[in-house]
Amino acid sequence: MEARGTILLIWALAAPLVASPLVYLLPRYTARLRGPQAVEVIRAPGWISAVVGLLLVGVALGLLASLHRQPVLGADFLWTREYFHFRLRADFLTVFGLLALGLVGTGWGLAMAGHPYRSLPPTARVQALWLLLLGAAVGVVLAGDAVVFLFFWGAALLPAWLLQQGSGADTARRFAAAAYLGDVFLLLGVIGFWAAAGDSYLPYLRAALGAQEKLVGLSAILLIVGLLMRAGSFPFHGWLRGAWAKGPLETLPVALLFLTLSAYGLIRFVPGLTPPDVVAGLRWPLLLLGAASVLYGAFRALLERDLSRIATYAAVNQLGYLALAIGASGAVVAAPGVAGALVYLLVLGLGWGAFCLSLEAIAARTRTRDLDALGGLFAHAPGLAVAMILAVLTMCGCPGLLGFLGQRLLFAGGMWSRAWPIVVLGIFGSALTAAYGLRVVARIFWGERPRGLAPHFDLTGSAGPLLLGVVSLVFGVWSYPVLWLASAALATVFGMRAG
Amino acid sequence: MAILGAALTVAALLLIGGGTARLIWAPRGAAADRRVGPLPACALAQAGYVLLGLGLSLRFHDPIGASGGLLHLVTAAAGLGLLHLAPRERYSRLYLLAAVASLVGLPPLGGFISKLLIYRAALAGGRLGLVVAALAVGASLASLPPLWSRLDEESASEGSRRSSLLPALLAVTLLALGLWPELALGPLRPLAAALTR
Repeated sequence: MEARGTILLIWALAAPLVASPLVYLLPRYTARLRGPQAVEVIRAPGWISAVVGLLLVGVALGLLASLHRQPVLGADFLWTREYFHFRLRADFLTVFGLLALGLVGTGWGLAMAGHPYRSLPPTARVQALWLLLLGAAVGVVLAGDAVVFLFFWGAALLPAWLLQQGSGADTARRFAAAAYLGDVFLLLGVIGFWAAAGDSYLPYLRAALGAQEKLVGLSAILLIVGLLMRAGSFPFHGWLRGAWAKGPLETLPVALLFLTLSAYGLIRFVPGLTPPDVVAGLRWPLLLLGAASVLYGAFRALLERDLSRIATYAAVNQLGYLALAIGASGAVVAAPGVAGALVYLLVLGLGWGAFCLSLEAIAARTRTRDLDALGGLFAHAPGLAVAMILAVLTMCGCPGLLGFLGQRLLFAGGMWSRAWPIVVLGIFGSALTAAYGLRVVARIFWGERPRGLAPHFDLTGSAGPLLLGVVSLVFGVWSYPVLWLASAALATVFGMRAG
Repeated sequence: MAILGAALTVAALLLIGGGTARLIWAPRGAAADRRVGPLPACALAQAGYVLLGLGLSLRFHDPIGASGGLLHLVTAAAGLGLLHLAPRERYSRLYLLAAVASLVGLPPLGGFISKLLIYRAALAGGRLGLVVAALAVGASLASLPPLWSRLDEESASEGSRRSSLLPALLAVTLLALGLWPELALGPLRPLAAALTR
């Protein structure tokens, strides 16, 4: 095991967890010197979060250099002497996960640094909890053992629940019940895998799961249900809608991270560990669920006028593409489907992340979430308009943006699966995605500005979503690095040839 | 020994089922219930998990279940103590959250590891063991809503609050056992081995 790799793994895990108390305490100390309402004091927690996000991107790039020499890096620590080992592990799929978390973290940090908070306490509390949540998310991505995966997955629930408290006790309770129920499905699924393989070490699971097909199939279904529940995917999206309708600011990081994490978990467990025969058996249910999620999310987003609800249904819509990609990975030639799922891991954070951060920035400054009460804001916030257009084009798979690469690969996977009707429905869903996204952009930034609506936008407020949108544009135009990374992951993690 | 183990496992499942059922269908609003809260029912269910670990160990001659059962004795005692003390404390919401999370087996608290060791022991029993593990997980799931509602009720209730050391110590113990369970498992291991023998 390369020493540099171990240091990078520990660094990635420790950075958000150490930064969390710092974010809570350090600005309080500086507030004594400058006053609690000084702009730099209020913005400090957001900046620190953005730096932690950038650090995660740096760790992902550092891991790439090590993985080039050795395809799997691992670190093993004593947890309970002979029963469980605290195993961390990094492969090319981990790099995808860390990149997604790092980019989302940087975008969120920048967006919060520009948020019009008026005093320190709310921003420090939200950022400290966000960093705890990010630390747990990094743990999930680095987990080399199913028990360690469960440990960090469950640990994310507590800071998420504390963040949800900002939306009211009822909402938080509903969220906790849905997320915990999902976790129990996940636990049962992991226990099933564990029982079938006799060990919880992930590389061993992959090798040993072939024998008991029935148990593994049932466990895979339980895992998929658990992961989709935590993400708030169709038809388990009730808690997400309830949580967002009341207080999106505190629930935004929860939704953003859960979506990325669930996507990672689905890729890691379904095409990553489950035997190909079992994935092939789950192909049609996943394809149908994905197509239903894409269409339902897009239709509902098209009908809604409330910004929070639009963002929620956009999440349901985007998660549908991932389910489509996972379903397509059950084909005889599964590589395009898996590659599409890997690219979608980034697209979810870059597209939907930029979209909902833009909506949140607009809602916070205009103090309204009603689409009909907005209009003519382009002159006030050109940066935000560009960010939102890039986000919408990424989500609908427009050429030149990363979403196009993701959708092209997953539709290719669908064709290999001989699932033509699903591919047609998916393409129709992309058109609907463009329709609801561009409708929102047109309503907010063009047309007549309602009387009395004169919000003040500064560049910092647009920086977070703009960064995510620009990254999507860069990798959409120059997709070689993403395709190279996906090919490396296909060969070393999934044992497939990119073709 | 194997028959004793099987009998203990059945008794444990009955205790877990009875405790969880009592938690869910407690006569809310009754004077006795208001006075003692969900503690007796919760303690009954937690005692069931301890017995389950011991029973599985005796049945399959593997000390992992006994280790889990004994560790659960420690984490459940700390969790129940915290559940009892927390409502009168200054940071009651945080303490209740730690207690409830540990009792239902959420990471990163001690209850997660102890329950996981017990589930791991159940897996040694093949399909029957898998059913036992699924029943135990189901009971954990079912105990969350009543305990969670207790969390909301207690944190909403007003009254004088104090800051004392014991609940803080219990909460830190639960967290420490979750992050580093070897702290308690090390000393408990010889006892678990002796019980299995």
